Amino acid sequence: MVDNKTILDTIERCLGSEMLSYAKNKNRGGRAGKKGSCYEDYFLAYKATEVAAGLLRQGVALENWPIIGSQIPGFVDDVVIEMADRVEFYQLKNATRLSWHGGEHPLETDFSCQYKLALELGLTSPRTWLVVPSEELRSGMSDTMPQSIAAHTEVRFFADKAVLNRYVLENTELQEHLAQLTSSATPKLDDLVAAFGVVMLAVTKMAEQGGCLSELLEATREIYPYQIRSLVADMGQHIRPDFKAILDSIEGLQYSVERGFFQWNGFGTTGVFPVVCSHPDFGAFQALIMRKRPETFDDFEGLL
Amino acid sequence: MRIFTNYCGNDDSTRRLLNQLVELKDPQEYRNCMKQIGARLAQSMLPALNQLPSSVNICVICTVEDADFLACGLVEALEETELGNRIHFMCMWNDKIRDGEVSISPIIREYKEELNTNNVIFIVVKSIISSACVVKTNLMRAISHVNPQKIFVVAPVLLKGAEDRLEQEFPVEITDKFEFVHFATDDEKDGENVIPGIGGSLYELLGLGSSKDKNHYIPTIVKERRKKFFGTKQAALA
Repeated sequence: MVDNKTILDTIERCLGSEMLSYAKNKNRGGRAGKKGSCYEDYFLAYKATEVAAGLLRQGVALENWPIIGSQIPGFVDDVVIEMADRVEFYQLKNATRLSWHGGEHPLETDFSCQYKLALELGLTSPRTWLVVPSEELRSGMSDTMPQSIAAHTEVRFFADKAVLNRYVLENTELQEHLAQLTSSATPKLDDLVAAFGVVMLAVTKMAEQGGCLSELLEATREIYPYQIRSLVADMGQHIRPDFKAILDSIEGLQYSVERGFFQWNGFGTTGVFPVVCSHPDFGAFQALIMRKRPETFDDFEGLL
Repeated sequence: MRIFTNYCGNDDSTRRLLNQLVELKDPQEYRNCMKQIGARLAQSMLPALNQLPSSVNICVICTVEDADFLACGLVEALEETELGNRIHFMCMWNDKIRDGEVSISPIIREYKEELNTNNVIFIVVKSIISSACVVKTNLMRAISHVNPQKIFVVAPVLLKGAEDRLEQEFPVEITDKFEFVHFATDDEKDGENVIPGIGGSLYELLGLGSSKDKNHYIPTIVKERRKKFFGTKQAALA
């Protein structure tokens, strides 16, 4: 992602000092307003989830994952996603009424300036998005979109559900995306909500500096270690044969390594070991099992 | 300030139990009191439960810290009635993350008895409902398994506004099934703890240790029901 100084210098050079001043004020206001601006945070988390799910489905290598940022200096600046073949700029307006032309700084001007700025910065195929909380407003803003920005602008509907639970419960598309990220391949609804929650916490803390999406997802482990799947394949190699032999001899116990996590079940009880298999704590757990050599499910469960 | 509800009934015994609870410091005495309160909650629900069709299953959903005490008292009281043979049990071990406005209670372990029907009602029982984060999570987990006809949300004490906080988390087709059963509403908090609530930190009062320690606890009711429903081999005694 282009550094802030370069962005600000480019704004002054190609758009003038007044627009530079406006951009700086907008950025300061955006950062100040962002604290508790949940609609923007939920959308940022949604986009991170949506993009990450697509990349995981396609098996894209982590080094090719996009950069994601929030409140980067500019004019369409709530969410910025920089991919290999395009850059997307999102502006959220959690409003019931909007206009492209109204106010001291019309949206049309913001979107036009952002596009010019992106081209000056040499960014590939920039696109600008307006995000609104009702389908009616989306339709209205699409119908009245000025020709000057139509080639690179779209309007998107993203409902304001107010609480984490309802964002997930009432959006099956989001559920499908989250199911790509969870530590379980068969997540329950609460797993999806928890995953969305930790993604939101991670991206809202870190996106202001801009960061690779894969790193942001890995950063969720600092918030909560086991909600998001491992992005590294072949965690099964960390399971020791003698550990497996002990578990295989326990009647009723089934286990697997799924998405980097040791998952177990037996006699109506299911659980996940709270860190990825490559973590030293899991190594310590394996050592404990090999030392204690549990023979029954109850004995195994007592060591968790 | 505390307001007692009509579920306390006409005599003072339930109120006395709640008042006694907040004074108890010995874990065994505290556990016994919680178990008695669980039985009272079951008795309060009987008029509503007896109106259900006789084919309806009852799924009691609780947390690990409530399983052997509050929930066990409720289950045992129901088992003494003709509802007893229709009871299923779910127990969750919850973690907790809170950061600003985001609060989640991930489930790290679950015990669930087979329930392959939507002809079921839920009894979600919790010792105290404050933010409703744990109840919300555990209810979401239960709904993932089956679609109930009715959802009883049951607790000795609620923090004022808890019903609204829980209802805001779900769409109306789910909240329409809610029925809240509780003995008292408190309207004050001191940091994390409701005042007078249930007397303080539940895990410590029950003798389960810290919020981390309690997730290593395996309830006796889980072990016993597991033997009954799934069968389990115990290690041979040395």
